[in-house]
Amino acid sequence: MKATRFRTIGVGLTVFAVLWLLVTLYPLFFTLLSSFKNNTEIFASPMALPAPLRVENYVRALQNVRIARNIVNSLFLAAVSVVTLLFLVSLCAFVLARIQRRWTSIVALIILSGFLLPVHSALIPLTRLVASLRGFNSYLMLIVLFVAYNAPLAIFLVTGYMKGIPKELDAAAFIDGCGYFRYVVHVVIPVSKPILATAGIVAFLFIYNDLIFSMLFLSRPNLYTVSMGLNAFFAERSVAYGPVFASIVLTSAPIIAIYLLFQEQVQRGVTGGAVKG
Amino acid sequence: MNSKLAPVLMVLPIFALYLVFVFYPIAHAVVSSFFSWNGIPTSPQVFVGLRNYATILEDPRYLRAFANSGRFIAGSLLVLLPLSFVLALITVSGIRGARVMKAAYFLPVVLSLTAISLMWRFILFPNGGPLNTFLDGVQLHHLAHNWLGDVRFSIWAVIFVNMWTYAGFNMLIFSAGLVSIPAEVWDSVEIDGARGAARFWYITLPLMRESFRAFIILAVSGSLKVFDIVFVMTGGGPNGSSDTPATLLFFQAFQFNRFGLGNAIGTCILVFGLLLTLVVNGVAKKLEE
Repeated sequence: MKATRFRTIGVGLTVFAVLWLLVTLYPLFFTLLSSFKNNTEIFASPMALPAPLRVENYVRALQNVRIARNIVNSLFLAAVSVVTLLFLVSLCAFVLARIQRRWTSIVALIILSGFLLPVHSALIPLTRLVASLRGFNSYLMLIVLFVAYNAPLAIFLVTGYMKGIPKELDAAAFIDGCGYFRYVVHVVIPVSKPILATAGIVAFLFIYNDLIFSMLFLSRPNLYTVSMGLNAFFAERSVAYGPVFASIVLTSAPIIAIYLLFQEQVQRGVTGGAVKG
Repeated sequence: MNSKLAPVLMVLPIFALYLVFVFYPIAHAVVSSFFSWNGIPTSPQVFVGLRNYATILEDPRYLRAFANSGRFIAGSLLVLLPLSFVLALITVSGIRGARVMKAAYFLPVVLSLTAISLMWRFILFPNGGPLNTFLDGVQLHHLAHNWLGDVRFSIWAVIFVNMWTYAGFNMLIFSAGLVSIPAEVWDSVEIDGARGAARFWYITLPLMRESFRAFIILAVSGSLKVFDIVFVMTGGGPNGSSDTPATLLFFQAFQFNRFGLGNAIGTCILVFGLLLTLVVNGVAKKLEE
């Protein structure tokens, strides 16, 4: 039970709390306001409320720069990757959680060492590998990469959870003659929904926001993801900032929505299950 | 289904993907760092031994990139640590609005780093950006610098944005530690009469050891891997003043086609990361004795 430890925290900390709240929210607020202004208004009066509301910024963003397409691409990649990831991870996690043999410990060690391995160290050979597989501009390739690189965290979270599934459930199933695979698919996965949701949402965020893989392996503009769309936008349209901000608002909307709906899951998953309540 | 074979087949898909696309490339990078190659498949890979590493140690650009990682670490330990800790105290307390604040503080973590970098890039515009406009407005003209375009400030501007983004994340690490202190500890402390500051330094902090360790490991390994924010905000510039090992790797390999060198940088990132993690764990063990 969580007791309330400090009912008041003193004036100093309260002031700081509010201060940091402003610092945190200001850039977002500013972006939202500016997305409805034109350049003169943005520079002249950064903090003023937009008047009139220049919705044409949003129209420009959607039409001219394919932002809508980028968002759809990112959502698609993230969704497919997450579903694949969760399924494959569930199978593996169950084995790692239940079976204690030499080889399972080694497998677990190798996968979890992935936390320590920096992505960028792998980039150059990875690029060669992708080239030899003709994987450029292939969403299949990207999905494979996203699944592989998000595996460590997902396996960590799901294995931990599955260890807590009562073994009596296993026994009952095997008496009935159910095989491992069918048991996992029909019983374990449904029972693990909470952690799968957590791991899935976290992976979704990482994949949606990805920059490096999209940048390295996509060169056809209509395949671009959100990060690339934003990047290119800023580079080419260095004159009209309103639509840039509109793009930022549009591309951030899905993830902010997911975050507000699933706050607890996101906070728990991103910190590797370290947070409780 | 054969019950001996089933577990193997169930582990295989994800493990195979991981081995092929994560483990193998990194191992290959380490090996390739001892060769020199320009990226064209038909060109030979020439064995050059430790020459790539010598280049890294001698050329000031590379040293500066690693020094920038050091600056990130310094910023994390000196500013981000107390900041996140204070935020944790705030959100764990029962004051009104703590939940809302917690949600707000954590929000930047879920945003795309590209979006964050673009937002801040604009805020930091030297002429007309909100920050400098504000400084001018409160008569602090001399503080209004070219944050991203001045070699003295570029790296610190990036470090600040990084802290802004991850304050909420580290806040959760510390709040997990704070919340795990059992209520009995607080009760017995009240009985013994320890007050305020003493209670904090002698009771709270030692019990938070695990949280501090987690923070330090994440901060250190994260400082070595910084890429997105630097890439989008400054591109490593001006003049490589805000380069980090990861951006350096990217430019050396994919702009200048110096792949052997790029792999050497990548291996350095890997080795430093592992070393620092081991050091932190070792120090933590020593302190416990």
